[in-house]
Amino acid sequence: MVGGAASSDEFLDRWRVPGEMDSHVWEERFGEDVYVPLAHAAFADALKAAGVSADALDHVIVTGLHARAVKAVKGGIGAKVGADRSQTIGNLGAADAGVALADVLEQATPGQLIAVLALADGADAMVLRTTATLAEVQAARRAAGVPTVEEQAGAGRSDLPYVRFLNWRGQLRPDPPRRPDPERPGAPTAHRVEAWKYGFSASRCLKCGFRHLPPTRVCLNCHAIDEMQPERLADVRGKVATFTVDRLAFSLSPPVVGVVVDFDGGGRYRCEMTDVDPDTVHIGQRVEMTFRRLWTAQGVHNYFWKAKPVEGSD
Amino acid sequence: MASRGIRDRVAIVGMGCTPFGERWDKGTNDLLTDATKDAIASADIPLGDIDAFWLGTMGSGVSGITLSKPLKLDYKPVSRNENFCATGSEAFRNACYAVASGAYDLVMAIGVEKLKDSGFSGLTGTRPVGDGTDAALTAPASFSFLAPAYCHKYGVSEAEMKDVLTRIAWKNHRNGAVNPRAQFRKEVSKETIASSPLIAGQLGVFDCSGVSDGSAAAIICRTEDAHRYTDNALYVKALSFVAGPGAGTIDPNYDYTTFEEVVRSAEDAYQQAGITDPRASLAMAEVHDCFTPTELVLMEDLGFAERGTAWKEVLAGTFDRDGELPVNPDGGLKSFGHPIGASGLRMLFECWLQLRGEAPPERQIATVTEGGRKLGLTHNLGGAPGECVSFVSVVGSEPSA
Repeated sequence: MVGGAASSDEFLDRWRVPGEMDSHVWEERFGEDVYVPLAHAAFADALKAAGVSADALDHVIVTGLHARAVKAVKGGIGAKVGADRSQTIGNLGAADAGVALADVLEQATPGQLIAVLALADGADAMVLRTTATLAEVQAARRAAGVPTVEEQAGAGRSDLPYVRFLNWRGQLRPDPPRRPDPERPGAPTAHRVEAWKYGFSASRCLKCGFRHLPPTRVCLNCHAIDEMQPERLADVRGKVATFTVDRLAFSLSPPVVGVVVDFDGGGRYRCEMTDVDPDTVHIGQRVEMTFRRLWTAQGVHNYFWKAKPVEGSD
Repeated sequence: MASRGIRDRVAIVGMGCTPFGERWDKGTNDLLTDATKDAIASADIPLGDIDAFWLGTMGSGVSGITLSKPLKLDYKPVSRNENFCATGSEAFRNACYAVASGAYDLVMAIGVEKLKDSGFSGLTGTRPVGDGTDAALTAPASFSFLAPAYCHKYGVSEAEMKDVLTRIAWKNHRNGAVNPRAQFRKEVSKETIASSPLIAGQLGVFDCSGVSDGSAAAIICRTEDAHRYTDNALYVKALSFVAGPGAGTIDPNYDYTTFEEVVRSAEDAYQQAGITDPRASLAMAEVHDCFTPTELVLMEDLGFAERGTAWKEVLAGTFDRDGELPVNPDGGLKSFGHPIGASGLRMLFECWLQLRGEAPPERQIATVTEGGRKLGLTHNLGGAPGECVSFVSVVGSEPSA
C-alpha cells in the first residue's frame, strides 16, 4: 500500500436492528448528496498520500451498498473505473471490495497502481502498487487449480428459481415432508470423528491396502485390527456407481439425489449429490467432494461432504 | 465350528395373527393381547402354561415389560428382541433355541408394531446420537438402487423393469385381496400401479410395502410333545440368521444386484433342512418384499431362479399364487402390510395356514393341495442393500422320517 485516507460524517443512511433479515435505507438522493463529497475527499487525500495522480492509476475500484452514490462517484472521480461484476454476482456487502480487489490482482501485472474506494458510512480509499512477486503468486495459484473470481462467477447458475433462493435463505417455510425433523449431531460424537467429518479422512489398511470410508479400525478385506493409516480424500475424485432420487427425504433443496461414489484409487461411499439436475445424473459420472450444510437442527448447523459434478466433464 | 441347526427338534403348535392395517382402534397392548388370545386358542392351552416369552418389536416398546404388563404374566421370563425388519423372526428363532436346549417346555414368540400413531410417512427409527455424517436417504431410496443396477447388469430396459416391478406389486395385491387379515384387500390394476406418484428412483407409491399396525404369535414346544396340543403341528426344519459386515456400502465390487446376507443365510438354511433344489422342494415362500425390486432380487438370492432370469420368471407368472412356486400367497409386506416386529411371524402364520390345509379354499395353493409339497420358507430382511441382516427359515407339515 502506498497511500490511504478516510473521511466520515454523521448521517443516517442504512440501518438494521439486530435479528432482522434485511436493513432499512433512507431516501437515496439524500445519501448521494452526503457520500459523493466524502468519497472525493478520501480519494484525493489517498492520492496525495501516495504521491500519485489520478491518471497514473491502472485499476480503480469503487464499491459500496449505496448504488446511486457509487455510480455518481464513478462518473465524477476523474479516473477510469474498471467494469464491476454487480450484474452477475450482485453486491457482496462487506466482502465486495475484497472480492473486487482479488479480481483485479488476478489480472494485474507487476508495477501497476490500484486504487480501492469503498463507500460505507463515509469513504475509505487506498492506493496499492503491485510488486514483482505478483506474477509468481498468480502462476502458483493457477498451478494449484485455485479458481479465479472470473471463473467462479462464470460457474454460477442463472436458473435458480427465486422461490428456492428464498427457501435457502430461510425466508420461505415450505410444507415439510411427513417425516421426523433431523436430529442435531452430538458434539462429542462429532468431535471424535473430526478428521472424517471435517477433513473427509478415510483409512487405508497397511496390510492389504483396502480403503475404508468412513475410517474403520478393522479391515473389511483382511480383518486386520488397528493396522490403518489415515488418508484424506476431500480432493480425490470419483465416479457414480449407482444413484437414486429420493422424493421423501428431508432436504433444504429437495429432491435429495443419493449417489454411491467409487473413488479413484479405491474406496466407496454413499452420500448426497448436490449442484446437479436430478435428470442428468448417470452411472459413471465424474464427481468431486464439496463441504456443505446438510441440515440445521435445534440451532446446530450440520456440515458434511456431498458429491458434485466435476465441471466440464460429462 | 459349524451351523448345525435344530431340524425337527421343535414344532409350532399354535399361532395367532391380528388383521394388519391402520388400526386406529387398537393400541400396542390390544394388538399383543389379540395375537396372544388367538395363539393360545389355536393351541387350546391356558396362557399360564407357557413357560417363557420372546417379544419382537423395533420401537413399540422396550423391555419384556411391554408384554408382561398387558398380559399380566405371572412372573415369567420375557426377552425383548430387535433386529430391524427381521425382528419378529429373531424372536421366533430365539424361542425355538430355548425349547431345543431343553430349558423350557412351552414358549411363545410374539411380534408387534404400532407404526401408524406417529403421524409420519414411512418408517421412523430411534437411533443413538449421531455425528451428522450419515446420508439421510429413506428406505425406498436405499432399495431403489437395486433396479437400475439390475437393468445395467442384465441388459434389461427401464420400461421392462417397470413392467416387472409392476407385476410383483400387482401379484401381491391380488393375493392380499382375498386375505381377510391383509391391510389392502383390493386388486390394483397394473396401470394404477405403474402410474403411481414416484417416491424414490423408479419406485412409485405402489412399489412400497404397507406401513401398518399388527401383531402375530407362535407357540412352540419340543417335537415329541407336539401331540399333546395338536395332531397337525408345523415342524421347524431350519433357522438361519446372518448380520453382514456392511461390505456393499464400502466395497466397490458390490454391484447392487444381490444381498450377500440373503445368499449366505439361504445356503445355511438349505443345508440345515437338507434341501438341494428349493424351487422344486418348496410348496411356497414368504419373502421380504419391502419394495418390489427387493422381491425380484430375492428370487435369485434364494435360489428360485438363475442369476439374471428372475425378471422373466416374474413376467411368466412363476411366482403367482397358482404358479410353479407361489411367493407371498398371503399378499406379502406389499399388501398384507409391514408392522416391523410382527412381519416375520406373519410369514410363518401363512405357512401355518397353507401347509396344514387351513387356508380357506379360495386362496389355497395347488403346490400343497395337488402337488403334495410339505415345505415352506420364510425370508425376513432388515437394513438396506449392502448393509443388512437376513433370516431364512424352513418349516414343514411333517417331521422327517
